[in-house]
Amino acid sequence: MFMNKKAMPWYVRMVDRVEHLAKGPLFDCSDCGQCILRSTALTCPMRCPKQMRNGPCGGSMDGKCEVFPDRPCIWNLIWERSQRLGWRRKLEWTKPAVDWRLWGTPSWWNLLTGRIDINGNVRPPKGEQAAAGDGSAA
Amino acid sequence: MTIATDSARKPVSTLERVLRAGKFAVTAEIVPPRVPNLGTVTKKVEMLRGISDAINITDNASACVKMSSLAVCAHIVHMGAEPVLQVTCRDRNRLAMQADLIGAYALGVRNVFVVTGDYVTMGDHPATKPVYDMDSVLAVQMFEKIRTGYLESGVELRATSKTPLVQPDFFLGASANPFADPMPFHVIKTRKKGSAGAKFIQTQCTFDLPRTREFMKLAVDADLHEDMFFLIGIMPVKSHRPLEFMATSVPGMRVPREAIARMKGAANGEEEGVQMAVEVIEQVRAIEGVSGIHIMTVSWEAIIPELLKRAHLMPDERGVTDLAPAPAPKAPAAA
Repeated sequence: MFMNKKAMPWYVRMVDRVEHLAKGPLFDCSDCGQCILRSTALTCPMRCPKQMRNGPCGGSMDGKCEVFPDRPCIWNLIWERSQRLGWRRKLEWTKPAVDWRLWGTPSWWNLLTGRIDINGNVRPPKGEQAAAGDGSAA
Repeated sequence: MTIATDSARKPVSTLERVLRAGKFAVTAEIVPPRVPNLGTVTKKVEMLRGISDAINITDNASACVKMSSLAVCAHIVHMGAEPVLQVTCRDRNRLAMQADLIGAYALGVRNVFVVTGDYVTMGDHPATKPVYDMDSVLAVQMFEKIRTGYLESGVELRATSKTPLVQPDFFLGASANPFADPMPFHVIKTRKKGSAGAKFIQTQCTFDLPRTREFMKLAVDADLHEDMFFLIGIMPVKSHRPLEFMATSVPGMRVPREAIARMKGAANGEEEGVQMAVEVIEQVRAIEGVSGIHIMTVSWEAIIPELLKRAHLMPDERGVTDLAPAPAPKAPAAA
């Protein structure tokens, strides 16, 4: 996909740089621009090769990833850490689909401008119809 | 009110009719050929029509290129049998998934089954770009939204601004894997699929019965069987080799060593394989919350009639009559 970083003004790039400096080493951040770490036990689900945001795929076994069997299934880690943190209820939320226009942009900026909410759920930009799962259109 | 007693709803397909009537459902699965020729599919459908309520058509199963699922489904509709269109999230983004769904409705397909899909590196084009624009929960949600007349983005499904909203009705399903970890999380994910709009669940094939029982117990405890019909996967095998292959190379499969040993020691592999499948079916039927079975044979469809006979699951034994597809309802308000 197009790395939207390249189209951002300098001040957004600065926010991006700072956010990435923090989240890169800590969470292996992929710069999805719609951070849901708060509901996934501070473990980034975008490290999953299938980039699943709603739970493990059917290939996760014994805590290992189906694609890279010597690596942990990230959703298994999220499950274990959620138990430890008492965040299990958050795993029952259905996360909306990724808005690919935000790929490579800083979540913090998107949060500031109201493009995502505090839990990383995308809000459609002004003037656009309701996004999936909103249901307000129906 | 449970899903089975939701009498206000008119079933859109034979599969839905059978399940809502509270009968034990049987579905089978056909893997489309790689060659551009429908001959083998026709033969297999002839074998299965009249004994299985619907036929799943896999969508590039194991990430290997096969004939398009939608094309085969259309062929099956023409033959007067009933397909289940399988859709994986691996190969298409939301534009293509929705376009295919609209096309499927126009071609008479009413059952749709969503899976995430094996990763591309498992298949015959490991270098290709995986899509995964939607995951299985979101894909079900998207299809459910189309049922209400809206595309994923909120765009209305109508021909022109003056024509009425079109609400194509589907019977939506999704997968569940009792053998994947962590199991309670997979039950949560199954619930998400149910809230998103899935009405039936077909599971990965069962060799490890205790896991299936445990999964169904968690599902029943969470009342998932009130909202969804569970069809448990069954696979008859001819020898121990596919079992060994599945145990080592197929992600998300658990095959107990006893099953492999049993097949290895069998004098007649085919006979033993059918007997084993019949035993699994009998045990699965006794599990609370199970509404049917889904038979996957890879390419041994010829055994399904025999298997169903021995498991006492022929249509008349299940109380199912008239296994022709329900008459296609009139396209809602064409322009």
